Amino acid sequence: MNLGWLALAWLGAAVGSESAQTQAGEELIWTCPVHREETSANEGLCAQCGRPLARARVTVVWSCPLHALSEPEPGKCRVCGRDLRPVSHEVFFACPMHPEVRELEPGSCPICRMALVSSTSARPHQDHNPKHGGIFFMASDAWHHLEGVYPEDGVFRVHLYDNFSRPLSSKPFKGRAVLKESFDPATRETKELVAYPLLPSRDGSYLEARVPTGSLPREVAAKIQFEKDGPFERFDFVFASLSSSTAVAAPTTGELVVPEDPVAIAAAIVERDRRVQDLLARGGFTEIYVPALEAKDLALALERHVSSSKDPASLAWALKELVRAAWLLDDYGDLGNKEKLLLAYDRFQEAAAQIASSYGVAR
Amino acid sequence: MKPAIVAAALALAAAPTSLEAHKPTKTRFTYHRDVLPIFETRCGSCHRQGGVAPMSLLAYKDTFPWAVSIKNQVLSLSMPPWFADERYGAFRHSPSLTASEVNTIVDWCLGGTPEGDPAEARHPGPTVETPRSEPDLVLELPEEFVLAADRAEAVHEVRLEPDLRRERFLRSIEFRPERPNAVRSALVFVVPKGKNVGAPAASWVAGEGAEVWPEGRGVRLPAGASLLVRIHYKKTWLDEGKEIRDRSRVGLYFAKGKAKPIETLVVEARDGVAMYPLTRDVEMLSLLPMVESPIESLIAEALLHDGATVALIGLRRFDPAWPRTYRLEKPMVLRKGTRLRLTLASPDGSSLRAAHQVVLNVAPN
Repeated sequence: MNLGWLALAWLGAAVGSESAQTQAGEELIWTCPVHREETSANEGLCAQCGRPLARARVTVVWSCPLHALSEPEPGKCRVCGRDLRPVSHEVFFACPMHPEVRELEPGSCPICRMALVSSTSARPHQDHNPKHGGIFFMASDAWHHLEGVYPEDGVFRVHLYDNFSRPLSSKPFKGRAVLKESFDPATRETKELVAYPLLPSRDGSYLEARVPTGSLPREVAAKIQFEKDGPFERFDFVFASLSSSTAVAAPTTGELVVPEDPVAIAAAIVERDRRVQDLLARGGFTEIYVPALEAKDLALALERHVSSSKDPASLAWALKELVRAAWLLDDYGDLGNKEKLLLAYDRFQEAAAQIASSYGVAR
Repeated sequence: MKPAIVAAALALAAAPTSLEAHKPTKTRFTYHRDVLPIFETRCGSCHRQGGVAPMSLLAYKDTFPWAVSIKNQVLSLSMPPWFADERYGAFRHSPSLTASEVNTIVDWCLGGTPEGDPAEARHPGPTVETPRSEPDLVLELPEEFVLAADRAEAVHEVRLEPDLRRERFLRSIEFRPERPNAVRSALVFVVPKGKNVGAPAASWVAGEGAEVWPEGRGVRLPAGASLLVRIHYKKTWLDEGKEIRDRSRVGLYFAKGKAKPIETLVVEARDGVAMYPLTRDVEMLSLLPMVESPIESLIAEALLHDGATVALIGLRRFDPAWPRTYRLEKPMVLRKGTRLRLTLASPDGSSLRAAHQVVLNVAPN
């Protein structure tokens, strides 16, 4: 969708109309004027500050992972030729003279009466695309984001971003790259055996640790302190190859075809289980949501076959356990926390094994 | 949360997909049409205005601010507080969520919590077991219990005197809190005349109705016996700093004439295991786990003569804050010589030195 076309289309719209209308590809939502990550389908109050939510118009544009360029259609970046990726943007009408004026509908500025112009801004949390060919995670505060990069043997970098995926200076942050740990099951304590400091680069664009060279895949746990005196939060990175900003891995998704036959559905769940296991093994945490949520949708399709299965109670248990575990894998995959992912996967795997056993599907 | 990206990627044909997260409203479920009926059936007996829960889930404006918390509670199995694994026996009035109910709630919580149209709401109401009549005798706490402003919780024991001159059989014992938002659970013991202790005859936990025993069976209340009621008071954060006064009641429902007396068998596990041989044929009606600390798993099984094992109950990640009697969907006959096995595991794998009990309510067969 062309945003210029969108602006033209709106010129004919009634100014100040009570109920906003959307164009194709747009969505009307409610959001906090200050905390833009707080969104809702309905009127209400911001969960963070209690301000009344205001209407906002959201659309998808195609953006370069490296350059601040957006296009209305998929294609290649005009500057570097990379594939453009879909990113959610907020559409609004702004006064060229008064930046504080930001209206949902076209019209004129209430201060200077100038005609408002169509504008867009990136919405928070809509862009989890790596900018440097690395692996992108979100911190548990849902505000900080980070990208781990292994550009050359022995060099580990962490780029930091805000909730709009805008780069942050690395200078206020502390961290270390942990290469080896020991775990004592009696005290349930983890001890770091080999760790290197993550230090800000001179220009503050990343944190860097010089680590011993070694073979791929390379596993590095970054422990980052986001707030002064706050805890160090852990992110587990596994680099299968050296990071290259020209080759950004993206998960492949397609239309989920749910078979009619319950045995075939069970087999499809087992296949998704294998994919989750594989992604866990090679550190593809940000992609786990794809097979996990597909398995969840397959499990939901099996629910109507429960009463005709050979052990309905066990199958019903397995389906709900798999649904819960799939949502947890989705959640923890964003956070890049291997320990939590493995705990969720234990539940996922037990449920998948029960489903396979209910239908005699080999795992 | 990224299910929407699958749809977005499809809409945009063979375009490359991205590692997006946190879409705005991207759920097909709405509060009134899809979520409220689940909340009414599974959660509504506690999460209502004046209920034991500190927030109602029966009104949109009260519910949606709790979306993140609701999602976390449902995924961690903390809520609804049921804990019984359906692979080990079937029980009446389970608030346990089905797979599609879990999915609807979580998807709605993560997908922008849309309200939808109130006209589309169905109102199934909570499923709570209750005797279909008024009690034959209502006993009130002799005096108000006062939970002081500076106390968060308390256990209060009180003796109630039915003053019956002849033996009666009870088809149900109903505990009715006066202040449902401050009473978490209660246990009722029948104490024979001249004694100080008795057997647990009924339990109640917030959100639950009274157990109604099958026709022809009842708890024996000897002439002159009294009832000992142990009540667990617990404030929610809404009542912090406030004084709470409560005068709960116990309703007794008499069976017509004589009934097969319901008795209790107490299986006590030490170091996490117990084996209890049955010395007569019984019909098992319900089970009450009496556990003081969180338990990772509790499994009770019957080892039959022919070598077969029948599961009686399996609890996972049991939270002792929610003690309840699990009422069998169908009474189960257990023959003399059957051995009951109880196995418990602690959350951290450490040994369970303290004694843990499961009380079985049985009638002679």
